[in-house]
Amino acid sequence: MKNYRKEEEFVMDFEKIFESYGYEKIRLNTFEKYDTYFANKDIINEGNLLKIMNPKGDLYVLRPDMTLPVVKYFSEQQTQSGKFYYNDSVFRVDKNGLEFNERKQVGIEYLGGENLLSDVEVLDLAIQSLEKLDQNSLLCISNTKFIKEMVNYVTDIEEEKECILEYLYRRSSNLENYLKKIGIEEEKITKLLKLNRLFGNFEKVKKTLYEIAVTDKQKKILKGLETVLKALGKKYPQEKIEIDFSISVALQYYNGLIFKGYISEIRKPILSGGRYDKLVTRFGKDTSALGFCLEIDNYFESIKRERTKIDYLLLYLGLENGFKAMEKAREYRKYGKTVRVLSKEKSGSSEELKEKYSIIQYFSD
Amino acid sequence: MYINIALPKGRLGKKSYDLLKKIGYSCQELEEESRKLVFTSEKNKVRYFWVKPSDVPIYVEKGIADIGVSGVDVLMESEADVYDMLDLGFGKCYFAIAAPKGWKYNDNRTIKIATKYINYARKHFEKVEKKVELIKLNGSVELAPIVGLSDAIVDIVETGATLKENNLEIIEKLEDISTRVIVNKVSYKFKNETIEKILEDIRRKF
Repeated sequence: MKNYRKEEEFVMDFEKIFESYGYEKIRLNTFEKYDTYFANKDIINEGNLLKIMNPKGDLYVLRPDMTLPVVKYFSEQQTQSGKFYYNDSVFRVDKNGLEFNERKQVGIEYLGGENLLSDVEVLDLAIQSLEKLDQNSLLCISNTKFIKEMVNYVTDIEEEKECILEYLYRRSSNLENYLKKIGIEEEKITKLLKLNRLFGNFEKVKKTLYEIAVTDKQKKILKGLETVLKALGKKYPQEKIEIDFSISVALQYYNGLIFKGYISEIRKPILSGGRYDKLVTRFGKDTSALGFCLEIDNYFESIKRERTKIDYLLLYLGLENGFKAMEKAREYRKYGKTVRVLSKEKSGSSEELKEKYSIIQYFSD
Repeated sequence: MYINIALPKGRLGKKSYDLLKKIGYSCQELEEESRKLVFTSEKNKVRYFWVKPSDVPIYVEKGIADIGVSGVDVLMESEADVYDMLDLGFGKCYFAIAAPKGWKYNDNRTIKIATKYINYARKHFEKVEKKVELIKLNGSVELAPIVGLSDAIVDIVETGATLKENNLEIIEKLEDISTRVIVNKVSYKFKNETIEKILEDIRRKF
């Protein structure tokens, strides 16, 4: 059996970390008006949302992530800044649209901070969270603006841009053939292929990155990234943070910095986040905004977690002995022990019992 | 740290293993005749899984295997979220739409297509906005249009000999297919040096 209380305690440790940085817990309605999502359908794949209808026929959405509801809440407040954390469920539909599930997410949103400084703080918290999960963890960083600039530089045709991005996310060996086929110049191909193979800490890939960068915007992004990583480098070894332009995010409202966190035991991302200033602008506020969430269910499901045993099992035969056992149990509980009383006839095999209980006592004639 | 490799049962898998052997990933256990499905070499720190070709992408996507060898046909059909990092250059063929000689597209009605590659075919026809009814078959797809089960087929074509023998012709040539080395996205990050070295060594052997 899963130990839900242990999981909750574990999550509370994250909450304590977030609180120590001044984040406030937020709890929002699970249901959001469909209109909110429909109005932003260019950046949210509204076809993949779980929708429900109220008796009047109004359409609602079960939130697919926490960011948009938090942004909406923030936009309705008077303040220009806010730091929030949450521990709540989100609802996702699978890629065929046939099945859906509920996932627990724990995360933070930092709204209205100073750009580079908030980058440092959020990335720092992301690494701290990862380290709490596993000694062997990694944070991979990318920048959606940087890639967009790159692709814009190569072609003007939307369809080709999408295709190139698809190849980059897969680090596809077919990228070169494709670029040749659509008639891209040699020089541009070389740059894209370098980007396709790029992976490593900033120091290792720095030279290549500046070689690839064409526009001033890209160079500015790299300068910013360098500043942020230098600040983080004072606290963490540089192998902890890798530059990886193949990471992609399911929800497309991120603009700029994006990142994903991994731990060695689990073969899917456990943390993901990024910057979404543009989304906030749509809701009428012009501020810096970024955050991340931990897919905490991935963690609890994947690791064989230690089961906590119940201290005592008192087995009895017959009614009289049952009463004796209950009496004894009451006594143990006074001392803070956990005790269960069971009829011997109804208990399982002794192996099963040993796994579940630390001490087993018998009450029989 | 062990490296886990999923190979497709059959000719493609054997060829891939020969290549991996040349770059230092031999496995004595695998070369001995047996019905085993997992083979380990303590010496070379490698573990091989011998699986059905269409299952390789799943093993890699889920991270049971760090690396796998898979044809583009299988890979596209599985829609697995993996890196596709190296073209091994063998197992070359292509996807194609084929139909009985003289058959023509008729936009007025839904065309029936028989195929093993149902996901791939669905995506293709959605992209070109053609209405089709897909019929999933597990083999001898060429039979379908002959006996009137479908109008046309989507299948992989190597030489075209099978099509010819069954009086079918290619209506449209689609994606090229070759054998690829695929890599789990998270393994790539944690075992980066080992995996990059394997890829580099294979590239050099060509």
